[in-house]
Amino acid sequence: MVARKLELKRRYSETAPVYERRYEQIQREKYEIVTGNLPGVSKVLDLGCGTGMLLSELTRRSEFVVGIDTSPEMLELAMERRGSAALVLADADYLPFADRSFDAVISVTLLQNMPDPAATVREVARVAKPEGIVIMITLKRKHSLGELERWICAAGFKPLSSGEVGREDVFCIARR
Amino acid sequence: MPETIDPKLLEILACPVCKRDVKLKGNELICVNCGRRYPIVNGIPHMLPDELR
Repeated sequence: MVARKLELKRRYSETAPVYERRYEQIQREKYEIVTGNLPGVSKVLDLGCGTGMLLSELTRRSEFVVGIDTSPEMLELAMERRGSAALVLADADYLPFADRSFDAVISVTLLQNMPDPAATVREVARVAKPEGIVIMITLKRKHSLGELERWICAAGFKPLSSGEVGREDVFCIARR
Repeated sequence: MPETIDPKLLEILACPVCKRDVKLKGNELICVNCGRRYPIVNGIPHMLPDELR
């Protein structure tokens, strides 16, 4: 499990310079799901923020935004476009935040890389406020929409909306 | 030069391993419970658990 995470960290660090060019178009559709469904909330966490493509959009809608990633190279690029967002080098299974810290937790294209997504969603639930919202998007060929909803429900959330994004991903928006 | 950190971030940061508070000391965040130390590098707190550093 650790070896896999270290390998991913290395791979993302290597591809950081070309990541935006390669994925911006694909990510854009997913970001629209996020920004179109994010109510005006004060504290938002972006899990696996990568080069920070979503961060500046989130800062326009929220009072305080934090982005985390395991790759220092990704965060270095995110520094340039983060707006007012804070960045932390961290792993989604070991969130370095107090319980009930965030009004919304966003996870775009992260769960597909986690060894035990159900455990990741439980850790997300820990840092979400009691009325908190989660918006999660993952790769369809790795996880079905049913699996995604099951993990989210098991962590104590109720799905508000779910479905497919583009051709490759599924999403679920949920609240406690 | 000691690193600065957004007070709103410092307020919610916790040790990723034991989840207890961390205190800023110089260029590091130190867990008040387990004593693990997390460096701040170019303004970014490095808060990975031991095995992922």
